[in-house]
Amino acid sequence: MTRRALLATGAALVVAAGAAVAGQQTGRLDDGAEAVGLEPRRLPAESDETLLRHVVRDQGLVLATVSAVASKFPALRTSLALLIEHGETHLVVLGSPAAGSTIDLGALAAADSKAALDYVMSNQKQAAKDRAKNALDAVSGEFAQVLAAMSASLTQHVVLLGDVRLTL
Amino acid sequence: MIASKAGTAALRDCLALEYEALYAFALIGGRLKAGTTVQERAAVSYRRRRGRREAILAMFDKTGDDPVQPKPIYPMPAVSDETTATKLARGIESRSTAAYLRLVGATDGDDRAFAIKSLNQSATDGLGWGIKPAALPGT
Repeated sequence: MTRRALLATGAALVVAAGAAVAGQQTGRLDDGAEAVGLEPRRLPAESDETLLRHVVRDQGLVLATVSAVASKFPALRTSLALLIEHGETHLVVLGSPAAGSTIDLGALAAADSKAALDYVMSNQKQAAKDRAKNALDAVSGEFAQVLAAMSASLTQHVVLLGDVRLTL
Repeated sequence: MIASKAGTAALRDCLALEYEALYAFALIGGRLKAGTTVQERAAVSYRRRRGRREAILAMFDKTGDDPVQPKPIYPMPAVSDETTATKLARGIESRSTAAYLRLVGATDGDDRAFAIKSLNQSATDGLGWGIKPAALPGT
Protein backbone atom coordinates (compact mmCIF):
# COMPACT_ATOMS: atom_id res chain seq x y z
CA MET A 1 0.00 0.00 0.00
CA THR A 2 1.38 3.41 -0.90
CA ARG A 3 1.45 6.21 1.61
CA ARG A 4 -1.26 7.98 -0.36
CA ALA A 5 -3.48 4.87 -0.35
CA LEU A 6 -2.76 4.40 3.32
CA LEU A 7 -3.87 7.91 4.15
CA ALA A 8 -6.86 7.57 1.85
CA THR A 9 -8.37 4.92 4.09
CA GLY A 10 -9.32 7.70 6.44
CA ALA A 11 -9.12 5.37 9.41
CA ALA A 12 -8.49 6.93 12.77
CA LEU A 13 -5.60 4.59 13.39
CA VAL A 14 -3.73 5.66 10.33
CA VAL A 15 -1.38 8.12 11.84
CA ALA A 16 2.34 7.78 11.88
CA ALA A 17 3.40 5.76 14.88
CA GLY A 18 5.80 8.52 15.76
CA ALA A 19 2.87 10.90 16.03
CA ALA A 20 1.01 8.40 18.17
CA VAL A 21 4.00 8.09 20.44
CA ALA A 22 4.37 11.83 20.67
CA GLY A 23 0.65 12.26 21.11
CA GLN A 24 -0.36 11.96 24.70
CA GLN A 25 -1.49 9.78 27.51
CA THR A 26 1.68 9.65 29.50
CA GLY A 27 1.14 12.33 32.09
CA ARG A 28 4.67 13.60 31.62
CA LEU A 29 4.73 17.35 31.07
CA ASP A 30 7.26 19.50 29.33
CA ASP A 31 8.83 21.31 32.26
CA GLY A 32 10.97 23.34 29.91
CA ALA A 33 7.89 24.96 28.40
CA GLU A 34 6.45 25.72 31.81
CA ALA A 35 9.74 27.29 32.92
CA VAL A 36 9.48 29.90 30.17
CA GLY A 37 5.83 30.64 30.86
CA LEU A 38 4.29 28.46 28.16
CA GLU A 39 1.52 25.97 28.64
CA PRO A 40 3.33 22.70 29.26
CA ARG A 41 2.53 20.05 26.66
CA ARG A 42 2.36 16.36 27.30
CA LEU A 43 5.46 14.39 26.40
CA PRO A 44 5.53 10.86 25.09
CA ALA A 45 6.58 8.15 27.48
CA GLU A 46 10.32 7.63 27.24
CA SER A 47 9.67 3.92 26.97
CA ASP A 48 7.49 4.47 23.88
CA GLU A 49 10.21 6.53 22.24
CA THR A 50 12.72 3.77 22.93
CA LEU A 51 10.24 1.17 21.71
CA LEU A 52 9.60 3.08 18.49
CA ARG A 53 13.32 3.23 17.72
CA HIS A 54 13.63 -0.50 18.38
CA VAL A 55 10.63 -1.35 16.18
CA VAL A 56 11.90 0.84 13.33
CA ARG A 57 15.22 -0.99 13.46
CA ASP A 58 13.63 -4.42 13.62
CA GLN A 59 11.03 -3.80 10.91
CA GLY A 60 13.80 -2.46 8.70
CA LEU A 61 15.61 -5.77 9.09
CA VAL A 62 12.40 -7.71 8.44
CA LEU A 63 11.88 -5.83 5.17
CA ALA A 64 15.54 -6.18 4.20
CA THR A 65 15.31 -9.93 4.77
CA VAL A 66 12.27 -10.36 2.50
CA SER A 67 13.83 -8.13 -0.15
CA ALA A 68 17.10 -10.07 -0.08
CA VAL A 69 15.33 -13.42 -0.43
CA ALA A 70 13.12 -12.10 -3.26
CA SER A 71 16.24 -10.88 -5.01
CA LYS A 72 18.18 -14.14 -4.65
CA PHE A 73 15.23 -16.48 -5.35
CA PRO A 74 13.34 -15.38 -8.48
CA ALA A 75 10.84 -18.22 -8.01
CA LEU A 76 9.64 -16.55 -4.81
CA ARG A 77 9.58 -13.02 -6.12
CA THR A 78 5.87 -12.91 -6.92
CA SER A 79 4.87 -14.52 -3.64
CA LEU A 80 6.99 -12.08 -1.65
CA ALA A 81 5.91 -8.92 -3.48
CA LEU A 82 3.00 -8.32 -1.12
CA LEU A 83 5.22 -8.77 1.93
CA ILE A 84 7.60 -6.17 0.57
CA GLU A 85 4.74 -3.77 -0.12
CA HIS A 86 3.41 -4.22 3.40
CA GLY A 87 6.88 -3.98 4.90
CA GLU A 88 7.40 -0.64 3.17
CA THR A 89 4.05 0.57 4.47
CA HIS A 90 4.97 -0.46 8.00
CA LEU A 91 8.12 1.62 7.83
CA VAL A 92 6.18 4.61 6.47
CA VAL A 93 3.73 4.31 9.37
CA LEU A 94 6.69 4.16 11.73
CA GLY A 95 7.99 7.35 10.19
CA SER A 96 11.08 5.79 8.67
CA PRO A 97 10.59 4.82 5.03
CA ALA A 98 13.99 3.20 4.59
CA ALA A 99 14.83 -0.49 4.83
CA GLY A 100 17.49 -1.75 7.19
CA SER A 101 20.95 -2.91 6.35
CA THR A 102 21.82 -5.53 3.76
CA ILE A 103 21.09 -9.08 4.78
CA ASP A 104 23.61 -11.84 4.17
CA LEU A 105 21.86 -14.94 2.84
CA GLY A 106 25.09 -16.86 2.42
CA ALA A 107 23.81 -19.89 4.30
CA LEU A 108 20.90 -20.37 1.89
CA ALA A 109 21.70 -22.41 -1.24
CA ALA A 110 20.46 -20.67 -4.35
CA ALA A 111 18.56 -23.75 -5.51
CA ASP A 112 16.66 -24.29 -2.29
CA SER A 113 13.57 -22.11 -2.59
CA LYS A 114 11.77 -24.06 0.10
CA ALA A 115 14.50 -23.37 2.65
CA ALA A 116 14.45 -19.71 1.66
CA LEU A 117 10.68 -19.59 2.13
CA ASP A 118 11.01 -21.24 5.54
CA TYR A 119 13.58 -18.63 6.45
CA VAL A 120 11.21 -15.80 5.59
CA MET A 121 8.30 -17.51 7.34
CA SER A 122 10.32 -17.93 10.51
CA ASN A 123 11.42 -14.31 10.34
CA GLN A 124 7.86 -13.04 9.85
CA LYS A 125 6.53 -15.27 12.62
CA GLN A 126 9.09 -13.98 15.08
CA ALA A 127 8.37 -10.39 14.06
CA ALA A 128 4.63 -10.98 14.57
CA LYS A 129 5.29 -12.25 18.08
CA ASP A 130 7.64 -9.37 18.82
CA ARG A 131 5.18 -6.72 17.59
CA ALA A 132 2.41 -8.30 19.69
CA LYS A 133 4.63 -8.11 22.74
CA ASN A 134 5.60 -4.53 21.85
CA ALA A 135 1.89 -3.65 21.58
CA LEU A 136 1.40 -4.97 25.07
CA ASP A 137 4.27 -2.87 26.37
CA ALA A 138 3.33 0.40 24.65
CA VAL A 139 2.09 3.18 26.92
CA SER A 140 0.14 5.03 24.22
CA GLY A 141 -3.02 3.22 23.16
CA GLU A 142 -2.67 4.53 19.61
CA PHE A 143 0.90 3.28 19.36
CA ALA A 144 -0.29 -0.09 20.70
CA GLN A 145 -2.87 -0.20 17.89
CA VAL A 146 -0.23 0.45 15.25
CA LEU A 147 1.96 -2.32 16.66
CA ALA A 148 -0.92 -4.78 17.04
CA ALA A 149 -2.08 -4.14 13.47
CA MET A 150 1.47 -4.82 12.27
CA SER A 151 1.50 -8.04 14.25
CA ALA A 152 -1.77 -9.09 12.60
CA SER A 153 -0.37 -8.27 9.17
CA LEU A 154 2.79 -10.31 9.81
CA THR A 155 0.65 -13.21 11.07
CA GLN A 156 -1.36 -13.06 7.85
CA HIS A 157 1.92 -13.28 5.93
CA VAL A 158 2.85 -16.49 7.74
CA VAL A 159 -0.49 -18.05 6.74
CA LEU A 160 -0.06 -16.94 3.12
CA LEU A 161 3.49 -18.27 2.93
CA GLY A 162 2.28 -21.58 4.37
CA ASP A 163 -0.07 -21.82 1.39
CA VAL A 164 2.77 -20.97 -1.00
CA ARG A 165 4.94 -23.66 0.57
CA LEU A 166 2.38 -26.33 -0.36
CA THR A 167 2.89 -25.45 -4.02
CA LEU A 168 6.70 -25.73 -4.03
CA MET B 1 -7.09 -4.19 32.65
CA ILE B 2 -10.11 -2.17 31.62
CA ALA B 3 -9.62 1.08 33.42
CA SER B 4 -11.70 3.45 31.35
CA LYS B 5 -15.18 4.05 30.02
CA ALA B 6 -13.72 3.78 26.53
CA GLY B 7 -12.31 0.36 27.38
CA THR B 8 -15.64 -0.87 28.71
CA ALA B 9 -17.48 0.51 25.69
CA ALA B 10 -15.00 -1.12 23.31
CA LEU B 11 -15.36 -4.43 25.11
CA ARG B 12 -19.15 -4.19 24.92
CA ASP B 13 -18.83 -3.61 21.15
CA CYS B 14 -16.72 -6.75 20.86
CA LEU B 15 -19.22 -8.77 22.88
CA ALA B 16 -22.13 -7.52 20.78
CA LEU B 17 -20.21 -8.57 17.67
CA GLU B 18 -19.51 -12.00 19.11
CA TYR B 19 -23.25 -12.53 19.73
CA GLU B 20 -23.97 -11.49 16.17
CA ALA B 21 -21.15 -13.67 14.82
CA LEU B 22 -22.47 -16.70 16.69
CA TYR B 23 -25.86 -16.09 15.14
CA ALA B 24 -24.35 -15.70 11.67
CA PHE B 25 -22.08 -18.75 11.82
CA ALA B 26 -24.89 -20.90 13.23
CA LEU B 27 -27.00 -19.73 10.31
CA ILE B 28 -24.28 -20.56 7.79
CA GLY B 29 -23.59 -23.92 9.41
CA GLY B 30 -27.27 -24.78 9.38
CA ARG B 31 -28.02 -23.67 5.85
CA LEU B 32 -25.12 -25.28 4.01
CA LYS B 33 -24.59 -28.93 3.31
CA ALA B 34 -22.68 -30.68 6.08
CA GLY B 35 -19.10 -31.59 5.31
CA THR B 36 -18.44 -28.84 2.77
CA THR B 37 -15.37 -26.67 3.29
CA VAL B 38 -17.44 -23.56 3.95
CA GLN B 39 -19.76 -25.32 6.36
CA GLU B 40 -16.80 -26.76 8.29
CA ARG B 41 -15.09 -23.39 8.36
CA ALA B 42 -18.27 -21.89 9.79
CA ALA B 43 -18.27 -24.56 12.50
CA VAL B 44 -14.68 -23.73 13.43
CA SER B 45 -15.52 -20.02 13.51
CA TYR B 46 -18.55 -20.72 15.68
CA ARG B 47 -16.46 -22.58 18.26
CA ARG B 48 -13.83 -19.88 18.30
CA ARG B 49 -16.46 -17.17 18.76
CA ARG B 50 -18.10 -19.05 21.57
CA GLY B 51 -14.76 -19.16 23.37
CA ARG B 52 -14.28 -15.44 22.90
CA ARG B 53 -17.79 -14.66 24.12
CA GLU B 54 -17.12 -16.62 27.31
CA ALA B 55 -13.78 -14.89 27.78
CA ILE B 56 -15.38 -11.46 27.46
CA LEU B 57 -18.20 -12.34 29.84
CA ALA B 58 -15.57 -13.46 32.36
CA MET B 59 -13.85 -10.08 31.98
CA PHE B 60 -17.13 -8.31 32.77
CA ASP B 61 -17.62 -10.61 35.76
CA LYS B 62 -14.26 -9.51 37.07
CA THR B 63 -14.91 -5.80 36.75
CA GLY B 64 -18.57 -5.89 37.82
CA ASP B 65 -19.60 -3.83 34.79
CA ASP B 66 -22.75 -4.82 32.95
CA PRO B 67 -22.19 -6.64 29.67
CA VAL B 68 -24.53 -6.14 26.73
CA GLN B 69 -27.18 -8.80 26.27
CA PRO B 70 -27.69 -10.75 23.07
CA LYS B 71 -30.60 -9.77 20.86
CA PRO B 72 -33.30 -12.32 20.24
CA ILE B 73 -32.76 -12.00 16.50
CA TYR B 74 -30.22 -10.40 14.16
CA PRO B 75 -31.18 -9.23 10.69
CA MET B 76 -29.18 -11.35 8.25
CA PRO B 77 -28.96 -11.51 4.49
CA ALA B 78 -30.33 -14.60 2.82
CA VAL B 79 -27.81 -17.46 3.00
CA SER B 80 -28.57 -19.92 0.23
CA ASP B 81 -25.17 -21.06 -1.01
CA GLU B 82 -21.42 -20.76 -0.43
CA THR B 83 -21.20 -17.37 -2.12
CA THR B 84 -23.79 -15.71 0.10
CA ALA B 85 -22.40 -17.49 3.17
CA THR B 86 -18.88 -16.34 2.42
CA LYS B 87 -20.02 -12.76 1.89
CA LEU B 88 -21.73 -12.75 5.27
CA ALA B 89 -18.69 -14.29 7.00
CA ARG B 90 -16.34 -11.76 5.44
CA GLY B 91 -18.43 -8.90 6.77
CA ILE B 92 -18.44 -10.37 10.26
CA GLU B 93 -14.67 -11.00 10.29
CA SER B 94 -13.91 -7.61 8.89
CA ARG B 95 -15.95 -5.83 11.57
CA SER B 96 -14.46 -8.04 14.27
CA THR B 97 -10.92 -7.21 13.23
CA ALA B 98 -11.72 -3.51 13.46
CA ALA B 99 -13.49 -3.90 16.81
CA TYR B 100 -10.58 -5.78 18.40
CA LEU B 101 -8.13 -3.23 17.10
CA ARG B 102 -10.15 -0.53 18.87
CA LEU B 103 -10.09 -2.66 22.00
CA VAL B 104 -6.29 -2.83 21.84
CA GLY B 105 -6.13 0.94 22.11
CA ALA B 106 -8.58 1.14 25.00
CA THR B 107 -7.09 -1.49 27.31
CA ASP B 108 -3.83 -2.61 28.83
CA GLY B 109 -2.41 -5.66 30.59
CA ASP B 110 -4.27 -8.95 30.26
CA ASP B 111 -7.23 -7.35 28.51
CA ARG B 112 -4.99 -5.82 25.87
CA ALA B 113 -3.28 -9.21 25.45
CA PHE B 114 -6.72 -10.73 24.81
CA ALA B 115 -7.49 -7.98 22.31
CA ILE B 116 -4.20 -8.52 20.44
CA LYS B 117 -4.72 -12.27 20.28
CA SER B 118 -8.31 -11.86 19.08
CA LEU B 119 -7.21 -9.31 16.49
CA ASN B 120 -4.64 -11.75 15.14
CA GLN B 121 -7.16 -14.60 15.06
CA SER B 122 -9.76 -12.52 13.30
CA ALA B 123 -7.25 -11.23 10.75
CA THR B 124 -6.13 -14.76 9.86
CA ASP B 125 -9.64 -16.23 9.96
CA GLY B 126 -10.61 -13.49 7.54
CA LEU B 127 -8.04 -14.79 5.05
CA GLY B 128 -9.80 -18.16 5.12
CA TRP B 129 -13.02 -16.41 4.13
CA GLY B 130 -11.27 -14.62 1.27
CA ILE B 131 -10.52 -11.24 2.83
CA LYS B 132 -7.43 -9.72 1.25
CA PRO B 133 -4.35 -9.42 3.48
CA ALA B 134 -3.60 -5.88 4.62
CA ALA B 135 -0.63 -3.90 5.88
CA LEU B 136 -2.72 -2.81 8.86
CA PRO B 137 -5.68 -5.15 9.34
CA GLY B 138 -8.59 -3.57 11.15
CA THR B 139 -7.96 -0.04 9.90
